[in-house]
Amino acid sequence: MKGTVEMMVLGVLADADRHGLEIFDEISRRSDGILNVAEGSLYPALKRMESQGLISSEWRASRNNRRARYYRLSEAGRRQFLNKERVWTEFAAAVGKVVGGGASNPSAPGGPFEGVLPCAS
Amino acid sequence: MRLLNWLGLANRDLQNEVDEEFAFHLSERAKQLRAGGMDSISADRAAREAFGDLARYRAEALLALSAAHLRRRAWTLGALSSAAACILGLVAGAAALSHRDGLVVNGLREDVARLQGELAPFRGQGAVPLAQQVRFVTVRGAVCNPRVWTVPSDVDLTLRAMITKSGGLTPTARGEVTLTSNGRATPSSKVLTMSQWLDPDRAEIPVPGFVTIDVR
Repeated sequence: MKGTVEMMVLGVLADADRHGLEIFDEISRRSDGILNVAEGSLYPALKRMESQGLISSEWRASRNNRRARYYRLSEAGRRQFLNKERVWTEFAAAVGKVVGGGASNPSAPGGPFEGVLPCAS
Repeated sequence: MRLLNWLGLANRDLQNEVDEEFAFHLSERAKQLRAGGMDSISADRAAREAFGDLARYRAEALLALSAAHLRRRAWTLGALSSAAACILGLVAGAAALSHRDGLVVNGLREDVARLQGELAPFRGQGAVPLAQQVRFVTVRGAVCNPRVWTVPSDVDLTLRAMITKSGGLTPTARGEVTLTSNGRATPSSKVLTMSQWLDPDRAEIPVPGFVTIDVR
């Protein structure tokens, strides 16, 4: 889903700076391994987010003293994360209701989430 | 190739950074797998398989980096283009004005007379204080972009200049003047070429408060 990777990266960088492998492992850990994607696919997303100013990066020594590129959430990224986190939570709950056979589609016209686009970049 | 590199489209530094980042990822993943009991060859292979299509992700990462790099370069290109346009505009304006009657150096004698007349009330004082708003423009035909012209108190210079107290570029007060600083008139031997002193960059000299002029 468009914007999903960006949302997850923002989430795992919200509490700590991490290099690419750590970002991937943290996403995998938090999702209980459900999100099974190629590890390398993370990097184009990281570079796009960096070019958009959502994150920044720099070379630093890793925990085992190797040179690694660490990513950090920028202020713009933090704002975007906080904003999208709320929208995402509401959207996920709404989708859950729909898929679970609930009442009307909340994203439909007239519904409480009409026009909500949770992952638009 | 150098241009492509500058634009970030074939930037070796960007390529090296991505390669180093990918190599770090692969080797650290393989190390984790070895620590879990896998043999070295299997760990390397498993790390590569988990990473996926390295060439594709490398190309996509470089494309994203190049786009950002190119945007930054676009700012530089835009600024350079604007500066070049300004310079061309000034040169074109100067060339046009230099062919207009009354603005060429040949008319200096009359202009000096007029300036002397305008400044006659101050003649007895020997020197006329000028406010910072007074602007100096060359009368050699080329026209300097009118800017606030200030002179450090320790600088002696003689200028052939057009002076306008209104801030506009008017030919009504032109003449050869001698600038003095701290009451000291400058010797004519220290005449500087206009091109040196009308450089917009160099014209922005720290403000001394005021300067004085004396009509010659």
